[in-house]
Amino acid sequence: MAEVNYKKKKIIEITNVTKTFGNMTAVDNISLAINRGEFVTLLGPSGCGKTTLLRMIAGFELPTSGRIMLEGEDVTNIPPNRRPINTVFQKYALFPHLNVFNNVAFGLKLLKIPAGEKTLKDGSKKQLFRKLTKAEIKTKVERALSVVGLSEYGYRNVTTLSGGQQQRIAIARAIVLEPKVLLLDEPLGALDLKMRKEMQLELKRMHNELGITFIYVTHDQEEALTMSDTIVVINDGAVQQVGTPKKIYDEPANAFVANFIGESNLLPGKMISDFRVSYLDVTVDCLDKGFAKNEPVDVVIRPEDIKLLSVDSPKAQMKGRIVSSVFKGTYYEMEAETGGYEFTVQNTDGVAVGSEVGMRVEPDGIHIMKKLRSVNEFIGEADGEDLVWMCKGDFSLDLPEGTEKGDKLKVRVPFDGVELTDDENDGVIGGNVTQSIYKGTYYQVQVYTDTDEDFYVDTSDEWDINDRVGINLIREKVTVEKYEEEESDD
Amino acid sequence: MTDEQPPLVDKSAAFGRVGRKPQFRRSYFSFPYIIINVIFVVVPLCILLGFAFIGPDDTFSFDNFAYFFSHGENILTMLYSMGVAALTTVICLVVAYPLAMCLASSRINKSALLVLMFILPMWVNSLLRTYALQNLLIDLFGMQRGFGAALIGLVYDFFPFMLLPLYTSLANMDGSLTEAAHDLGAGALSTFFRVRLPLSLPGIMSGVTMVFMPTMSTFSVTEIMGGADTYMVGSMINELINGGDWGGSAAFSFILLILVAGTMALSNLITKGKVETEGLGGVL
Repeated sequence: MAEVNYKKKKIIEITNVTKTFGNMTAVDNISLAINRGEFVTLLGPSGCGKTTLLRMIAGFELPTSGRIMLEGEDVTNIPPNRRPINTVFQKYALFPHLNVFNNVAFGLKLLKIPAGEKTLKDGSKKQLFRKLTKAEIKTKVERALSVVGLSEYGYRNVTTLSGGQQQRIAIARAIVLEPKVLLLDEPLGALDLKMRKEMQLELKRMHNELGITFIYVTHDQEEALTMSDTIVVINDGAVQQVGTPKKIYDEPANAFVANFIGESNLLPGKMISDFRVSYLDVTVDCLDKGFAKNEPVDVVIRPEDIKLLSVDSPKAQMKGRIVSSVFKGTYYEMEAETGGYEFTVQNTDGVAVGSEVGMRVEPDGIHIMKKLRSVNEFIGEADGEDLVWMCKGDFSLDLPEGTEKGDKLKVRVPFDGVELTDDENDGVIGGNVTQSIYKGTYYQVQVYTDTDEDFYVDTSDEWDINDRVGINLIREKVTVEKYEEEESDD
Repeated sequence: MTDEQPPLVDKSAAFGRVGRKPQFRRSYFSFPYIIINVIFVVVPLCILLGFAFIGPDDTFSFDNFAYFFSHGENILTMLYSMGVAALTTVICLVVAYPLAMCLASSRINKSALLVLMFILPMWVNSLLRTYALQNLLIDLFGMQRGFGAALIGLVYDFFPFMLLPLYTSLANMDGSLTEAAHDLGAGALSTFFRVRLPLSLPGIMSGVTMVFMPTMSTFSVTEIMGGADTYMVGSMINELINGGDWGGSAAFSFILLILVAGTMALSNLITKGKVETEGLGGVL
């Protein structure tokens, strides 16, 4: 019984799917289950692998490894024309040589439906198939066109339609086949803002009416929050967080999600004890527990969760000064400067620039996230008196006593123990900046070396993503230990 | 309100043209081309037309046309030329289409160099190519001069003109259209006949035009490769010119021109109509 329920609930199961193009990994070991009837959004910045994942579900790309199941059946290697899944393409991909009616009817004309059984001479039964009749096709097309609100457009040329209308035709063309899953690849990307808002509501309505599972790909976090039942945040080819829009917004799993979804204030902090966190120079209550004592954490505070009070209010946790204020239509967005950090604050009442204010955040407005990694660890090899060979570079570091050339060493580099240089040749080794997250008072930059290693660097400078930079280590901050093989169980 | 009422805004003033020196306009750039066109296309055509109506006694007459239509063998040669041209075009199309598909597929053809290899023969003079082919086929492989050799020569000579437009139209085709067809349930064959082929029709049309027209009036290839077996209208006109019959050759050329233009117009009309009926028709 449980088995049946399980199967009924999950319509798509993706298990350990990886896709590489040459030496670039687009999708990195993603596992994901999608429930029947849900509106699921794959959300992430461009190039994060979300479209590749969608194309593998559609069947346009084959996974390098891993498995995709549809209703308990392995469809990993089944071509797109034999999957009960249809796609709405980013640029619509309507057939320019066919009119609206024939675009929508395209799939129906190819469709073969069961038409009873025939008993063969040897007594066995053979399933018969037939094509749809013209009348059947007409009925279905007209119904699909009415769902998208374009009943009168059947004999129009698709190239004469507006972007929004073309998008509706593309949707009609896909839903007319009554797929089990509808894939939408940034379908609203080419529309203007007003049209996009309209279509968001339309899509939500269609989803409710049709009861088909929607998998929607977008980089627009607002769109994802508006429409989805479940959001899957993807970055660097890996799932960062899966959850309802509210959960993702309120409780981001890591700094990337917090930064990507909505506006947020992201600060370095420290857990004093369960339910107590300190950041900047205040210690306040929060709702999180289970961290080690004094564990460094990331603190997320949404701009609307900061209450502005009078400067001498006893309730104020922090004192600050408003440095800018912009009216955004329904609220004011202000920057409040305190202790070297500028908080973004949203409030329905504006406060004049230059005023001193008190600020307070209630415990439920503080979100604590584990720091993903607090130190860079590498395995290197002694290459001389004070040289360590690692990541194909000779770094000059203090070696422990009695190290001999060729010994294996474990090098621990704190995030602030790395120095980046503009010119790759000024560093011992070079790398690409793959991520740069503003952490409130500094940037956390991820540098990907040519030896497949990641350096996490805390720096006060902003570095452009994809820039080549040089990497130097600050000798005093790096610790080098002898590397013991049995230590590797960590 | 009367018609004489001046317009509210004086357009000439608005555009700042009043009291200013005439400026250099972009359309002036076309003047050299217009002049070249007149000298090398319009005037020669008029001369051709003029010659065609000059009879043997240097007066205006329809003798040249009458001569053409009163001699059955002339009409037969003309029809024969059309047949050979059509056959060449069809062979070129059938051979070039799959090749163009391969070249246009980024999965099969990873560099543009391959396309260049097929286009490269176009850089060599056609006559040289034909003599080279003659050397190869007839002198080296001992093939007989005649229809077969001539056909090979024609196909070889005009093949790039078919390949190039086909390749361009297939390579520029939006890949998401074939993906969409797949997605909607079409297998490889259906995708080809329902999407790729109809969308490459403009490429096919220009390929056909670029092969059919020059093949029809060619004479060097058929003379070198075919000899007496392949007596085409080109050879016929060549003979008239060599014989000093300017009037006759002009008339024949003119008839050939009309025929080719007519054929092209007709085929354009058919394809255009076909595309439009596809677009307007439907299941009803």
